[in-house]
Amino acid sequence: MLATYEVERPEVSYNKAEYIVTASGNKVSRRSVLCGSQNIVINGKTIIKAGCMIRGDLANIRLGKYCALEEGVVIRPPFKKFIKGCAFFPIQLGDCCLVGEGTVLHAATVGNFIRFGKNCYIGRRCVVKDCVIVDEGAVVTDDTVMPPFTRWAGSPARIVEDLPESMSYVLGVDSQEYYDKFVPVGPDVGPGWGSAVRRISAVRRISSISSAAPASKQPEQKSVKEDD
Amino acid sequence: MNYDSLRIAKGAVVCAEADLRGDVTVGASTIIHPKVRIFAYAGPIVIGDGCLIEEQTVIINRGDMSDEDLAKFMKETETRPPQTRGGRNAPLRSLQVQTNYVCGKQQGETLHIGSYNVFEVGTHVESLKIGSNNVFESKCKLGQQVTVGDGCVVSVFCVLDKEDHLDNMTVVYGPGNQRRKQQDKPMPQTQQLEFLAKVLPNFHNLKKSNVSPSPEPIGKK
Repeated sequence: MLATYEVERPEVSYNKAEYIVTASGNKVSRRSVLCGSQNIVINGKTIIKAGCMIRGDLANIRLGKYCALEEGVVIRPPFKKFIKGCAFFPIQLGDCCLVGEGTVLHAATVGNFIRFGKNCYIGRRCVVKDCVIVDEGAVVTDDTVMPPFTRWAGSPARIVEDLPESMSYVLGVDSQEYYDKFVPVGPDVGPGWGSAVRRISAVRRISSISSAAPASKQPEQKSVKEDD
Repeated sequence: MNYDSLRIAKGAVVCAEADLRGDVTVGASTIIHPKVRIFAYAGPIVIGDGCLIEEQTVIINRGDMSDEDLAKFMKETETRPPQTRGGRNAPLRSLQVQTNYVCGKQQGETLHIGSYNVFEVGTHVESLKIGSNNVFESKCKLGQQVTVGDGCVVSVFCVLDKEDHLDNMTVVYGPGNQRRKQQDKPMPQTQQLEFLAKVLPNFHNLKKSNVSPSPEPIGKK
């Protein structure tokens, strides 16, 4: 069986009312929880789905471009005791990281071109280098350093194969495809929530009905083209 | 009808975004992160001192709730549908999702959790008797028929759903739930508790200690 990154991805549609789209192209579900948002930096074109938690209140968290967090992912800074005092480590994720459903990520740094499968556990203070694939259900123990171009599986996770150097290109293209094929459907809703926004969107909906044209879909396609 | 009666001891930090329902007692200097769900459905829940309960943990006094009902209940309370989320000044009570499963109505057996336990991200606990100084790692699951002694560790993704008792200092690990004994108790996370007690109030609204939740009805401004 081919892995998801080896075949062309199908188009995935999302409810426009559920996602907030930022100026830099991030798509963040309203049902995700971002704690301490002043400490979270998302570099653009990143998708964060429902039920995700990013704990920016504990330490700084940076996400690169073309990342995607599936449902129920938890990104949580790891805790470390020192001889004097203690601290939560900041987390950095590189570009083109896809994190599968229900994965718990406690790593310190994560490189570029990463695939974490569903229901993985990435232990505390792990260092994940570039181009690493972790299979579904793997448990990576604490303080592991994962070298570049490796695939990991099992509990506790071990290296099962080396990846070819072309893999970074494959994963990069795949991540961009994932983002480009994540397309909105449904009525247009403005940024933020609250009664004022709901009123505006209601007015918009009425005006779009009165003009009798699917006006909401065309400008969206245009903006996708501009991004390319 | 609202059956909630929260008793939160002084010094405990309970985030307002945690979902506590029914008759729940929280001991001193216990930390409860946001998105934790503690449901005293079939009877009261008592949590001791100095526990650390991380996000997405579920502690439920399940009683005779069927698996189907439980799955439905968990799904309903998992994520808040976007339309029920109020504006910035919405009353905190409205953060709770309405379900048909009313907690605290029945007066069944009490679920006891001792002191200095750590529940990491996404643990699911139904066990009615848990001792002290235990560590439950990410996404592990303890069924209703399990009792836990002191100083135990249940490792990542371990599922204990049959009738079982963990003696003191047992470690459950690996995909086959292997067991062994450890020599000394896991260290209490006092430093982390102190750190979190300082940091969390800066970022989250807290449930007040020793005060039961405001009786104002949902949707009232």
